[in-house]
Amino acid sequence: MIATTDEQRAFSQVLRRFLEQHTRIDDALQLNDAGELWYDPALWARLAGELGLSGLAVVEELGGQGAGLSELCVAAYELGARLVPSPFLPTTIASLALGATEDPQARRWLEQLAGGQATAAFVQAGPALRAVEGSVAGEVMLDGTVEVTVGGGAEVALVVVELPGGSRPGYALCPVETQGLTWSPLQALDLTRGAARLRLSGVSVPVAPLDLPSRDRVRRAARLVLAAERAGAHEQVVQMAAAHGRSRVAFGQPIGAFQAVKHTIADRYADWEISVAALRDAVAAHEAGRGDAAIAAVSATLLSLRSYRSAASDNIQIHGGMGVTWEFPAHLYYRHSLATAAWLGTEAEAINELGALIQDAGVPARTATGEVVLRGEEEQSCKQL
Amino acid sequence: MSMIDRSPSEYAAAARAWLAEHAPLHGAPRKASGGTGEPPIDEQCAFQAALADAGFAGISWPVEFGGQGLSQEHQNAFAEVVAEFDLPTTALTIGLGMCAPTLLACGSQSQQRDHVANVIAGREVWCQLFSEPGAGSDVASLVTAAEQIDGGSWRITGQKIWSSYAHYAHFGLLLARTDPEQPKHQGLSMFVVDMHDPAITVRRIRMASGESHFNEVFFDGVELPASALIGEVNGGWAVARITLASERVTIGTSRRPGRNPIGSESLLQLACRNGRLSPEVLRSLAELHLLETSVSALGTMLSDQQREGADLGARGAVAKLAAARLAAGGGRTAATVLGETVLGYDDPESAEVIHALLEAPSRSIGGGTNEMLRNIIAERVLGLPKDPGIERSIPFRELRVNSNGIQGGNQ
Repeated sequence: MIATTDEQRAFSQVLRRFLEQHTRIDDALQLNDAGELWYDPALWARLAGELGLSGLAVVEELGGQGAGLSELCVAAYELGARLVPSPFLPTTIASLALGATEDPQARRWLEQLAGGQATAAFVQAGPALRAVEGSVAGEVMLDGTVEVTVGGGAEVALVVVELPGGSRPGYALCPVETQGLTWSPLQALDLTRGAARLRLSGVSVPVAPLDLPSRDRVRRAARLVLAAERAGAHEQVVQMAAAHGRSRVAFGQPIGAFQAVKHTIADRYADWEISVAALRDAVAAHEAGRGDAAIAAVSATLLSLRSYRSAASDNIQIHGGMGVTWEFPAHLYYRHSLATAAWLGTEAEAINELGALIQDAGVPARTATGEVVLRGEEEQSCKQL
Repeated sequence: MSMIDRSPSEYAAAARAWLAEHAPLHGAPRKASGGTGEPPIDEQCAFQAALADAGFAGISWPVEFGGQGLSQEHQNAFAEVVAEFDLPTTALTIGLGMCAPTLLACGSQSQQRDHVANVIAGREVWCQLFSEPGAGSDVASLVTAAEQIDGGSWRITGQKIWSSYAHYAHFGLLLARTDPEQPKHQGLSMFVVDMHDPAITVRRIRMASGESHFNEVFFDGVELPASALIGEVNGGWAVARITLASERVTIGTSRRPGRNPIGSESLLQLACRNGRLSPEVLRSLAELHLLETSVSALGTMLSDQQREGADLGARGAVAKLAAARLAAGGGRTAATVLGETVLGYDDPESAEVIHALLEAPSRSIGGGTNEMLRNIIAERVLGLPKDPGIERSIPFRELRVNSNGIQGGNQ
């Protein structure tokens, strides 16, 4: 569905077949009950080595596949459909971020990530982490805590920081063996992607600077890959619900004959088609550098976030008592839907962001006159319409 | 170079040049008449005649029936170009989009010869006569009777409803019950009706928002010749499915009307002009934008997939459902933007918004209610079972139809 070329369709089929052979929908349950790492390193080694997933977002000269955003989305879609616990998404987003910088340290890490020797965590620094100029030029000193990050157990954490003394953003590269860096695993809501607390006590690490447009592009691409993962999982929960509607019999009928059930499933299916369509549009806008790429990306994010969350919870409802048990995988999707709605920006942030973008797009006179109007000063910005 | 030698892209270029000279651009203000927001019918017919003269009507239809005899690719190329313009021919879409395709698929040679060229050239306006007061979503339960009289003629008695442009129409496509002893889908037949028959009465329907193009049509013993039958006696449901499939294609491929007064762009500007742009209004506009994205992205995806050769099957129902959600969302946001000024107004701009707001609920009903669309998606896309029911197998006469509790036999 996400694939738009023959090559992408072939890639998607190969990946789907591989995952059907080598994974089970409830792998996350087994891993969680075993209490060890949240993903299976042996499976990841094969996904990295045989299917090249580790280097998909890394350029060819550094050992990667140099794939575009659409290929990343194809991979995320299939992994999402099977709810495969894997470091693919955090590592891919980190690769996109590192690839956007010119930093030599970044190149070294990209080779490691592409080769599958390392995985990465992509960490949004919060207010509890302080960043100041490091003692060595090109380094930043980090002190404090990031309460929750997705991933954990990664060989390198890419911490998004504001560079000291200005608003220029950058990525601090924190290898796991860095003195003063501690990962504390947390009980993750989403069993397919570990969560951890990251403590950095006066750590001085190299920083890869990045200009604002590049940062926005990375953020946009990251959100779209996540939206693709949701879309794959969304398709899966709709198919689970439909299959149950066809087979479960009550009151002498398959329950899917009752409109309360069939209409719910039909609505969630319609939502899925819409999510996929919006995602395809946003990916095309991103790759073509269209003027509405930012609006398209936030729209695709919001549509997939909300509709997948509804589908995951309706899937539980349609399965009845079975849907709320530990053994049945419906709650894995529900957990995943709630967790992905809180990662890379919350729903509330996204809707405000979209409102601001629409205001910008709808007020062309503002840029024409070159006058800058602060958001919130609606009256003034409106005068120019 | 003759039309037939042109490649689809050359044909599209010629169409763009012609339309640029003769048709208003998409979104340009319209000259309206009669409160329905569209040009007078004679202007519509004249435009269609000129379009046909220029070689841009009936594109993929046979030359012998007035078509251009060109390929589907030519038709698609034209469709892309025409989306940039507002053709002033809305009253002709029933004939062009539904009735003529039905005649081409199921009509007799003489029906095709008599009508198709006239529809293409704007000489005949057509309407569709399927729905009845007691048969909406369940249109196959209709009770308008066609009784055979001497010499193979038919006598039609009953009432139709929701017939768009019947007040202009020269001809109508009529679905009537020819055998109430058959199960409901099997006792129906399709006819061509001359709308000028004195035993036909057309009455305009006034909608909640004001005027409309809808009508009620009364048949008081209208006599039709045997040659009016389309297809087989009692084979009308199969013909109707062709018409309804053409209707879905027409609705699915038609572009939004020019400037939508309850679209996010218009409402943003309205909010600005009225000094009502607050964070709450911006969030509401963002919500509306999401619904607009749903419809436009879905349209792009479905037409891309169709071009790649995918069979969309019943997935078009998703597009209709998304459009209905958008209309409802537009109404909500419009109300948010207007705030308490929704209570009363004396300016044309507010009137236009309120009109669109009042029209919004009809988008979840006309052309297939949301409930029917969900059934279609569930049954035909997801393979869920049909609703429990017995009505497909027992004689129509024994069925309970018409919400007054009468049975199929007591018409």
